[in-house]
Amino acid sequence: MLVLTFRLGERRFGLRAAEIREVVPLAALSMPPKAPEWLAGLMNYRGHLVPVLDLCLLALGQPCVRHMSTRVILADYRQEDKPKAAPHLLGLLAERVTETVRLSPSDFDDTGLDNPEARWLGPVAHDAQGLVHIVEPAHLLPPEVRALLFTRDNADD
Amino acid sequence: MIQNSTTPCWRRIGHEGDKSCPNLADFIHCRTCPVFTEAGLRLFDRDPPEGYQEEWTQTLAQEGRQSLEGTQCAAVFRMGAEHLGLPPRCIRGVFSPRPVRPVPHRNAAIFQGMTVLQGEVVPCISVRALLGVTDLPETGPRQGFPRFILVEPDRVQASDRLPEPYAFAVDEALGLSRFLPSAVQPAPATVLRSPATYTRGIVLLGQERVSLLDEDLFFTALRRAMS
Repeated sequence: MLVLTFRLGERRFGLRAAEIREVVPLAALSMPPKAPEWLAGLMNYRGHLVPVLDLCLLALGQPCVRHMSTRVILADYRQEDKPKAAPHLLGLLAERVTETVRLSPSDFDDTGLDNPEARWLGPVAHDAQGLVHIVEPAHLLPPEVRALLFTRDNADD
Repeated sequence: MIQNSTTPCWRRIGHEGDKSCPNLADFIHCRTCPVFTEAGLRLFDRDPPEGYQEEWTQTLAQEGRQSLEGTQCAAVFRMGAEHLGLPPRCIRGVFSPRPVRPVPHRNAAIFQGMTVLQGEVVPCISVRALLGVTDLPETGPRQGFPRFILVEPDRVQASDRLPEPYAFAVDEALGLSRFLPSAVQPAPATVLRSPATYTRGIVLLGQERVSLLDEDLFFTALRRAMS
């Protein structure tokens, strides 16, 4: 399994490459008024507005350092309860998005923890460089946030 | 060279230094060492240059590469002045020209004879004569190489029917081109013995008007040429 690794602060995280559409530099984001604080802004991606989440803000409570290696990962966001529906595009801002690693199932370990506050943290793998915490995009957004961002789905309900 | 504690290890003890690094035994050269790789990746951990974000904001806002969804594909080749296209599914291969052995008592104008492609004896048809391709004088420098194209109806390849391969010579095989079905214009009014008779539509690819040959009509014509 190919995994894109990135850092939030000093800790190493990863996203499955199969869930990633594209990795792009941080473009200027527009911030709608009264936007919730976890939203880094809206990005104009090929003519579509894509919400960008600051993962550092989500995980550590402080925004990402704006370096060149701080990039936006455009990931497919599928709702947990609707895995078959067409995915939405969700931008994830993270630090040091510079590497991919190949992990095999034997590299993974169950943490044995189920933190209801951070359900977006999936299994943990370890390789020569240390631990990689896999991020599950499907669990990133709480239902009320999802309802705010992807109004298209609400129409289906 | 002045050395201090900020001098990277590859300049001190590595390949550019005195080569005393114990890791060199494993990695042979610093460029295969993870320390060097990590240092390279760290080069991106700095502030973006001026104008970087603005440039990317504009680039990303533009329409991206067009999706292939809904497009059709044609294998395009040139014969004289005509550019022709066939569905790629009926093309089995493109080869360098081979000798063609005439078959006695056969009309050699259209059915030219037999040729051997990849160990298989196949009839060679002059599609140029069959379709009535006009030979306009070449404009500009001659490009490309003459080729033999080996075709077979898609249905035959998919089923276990008797093989029905044909070979024909082209002046140039131009490869596969994609286009949207909406870009296909209707074929002009048919004239006897012209590619238009076998054309299902015309599409503009680059500078060239490519006549898309109708697969069924084309193979019917090839079959008739053999009988």
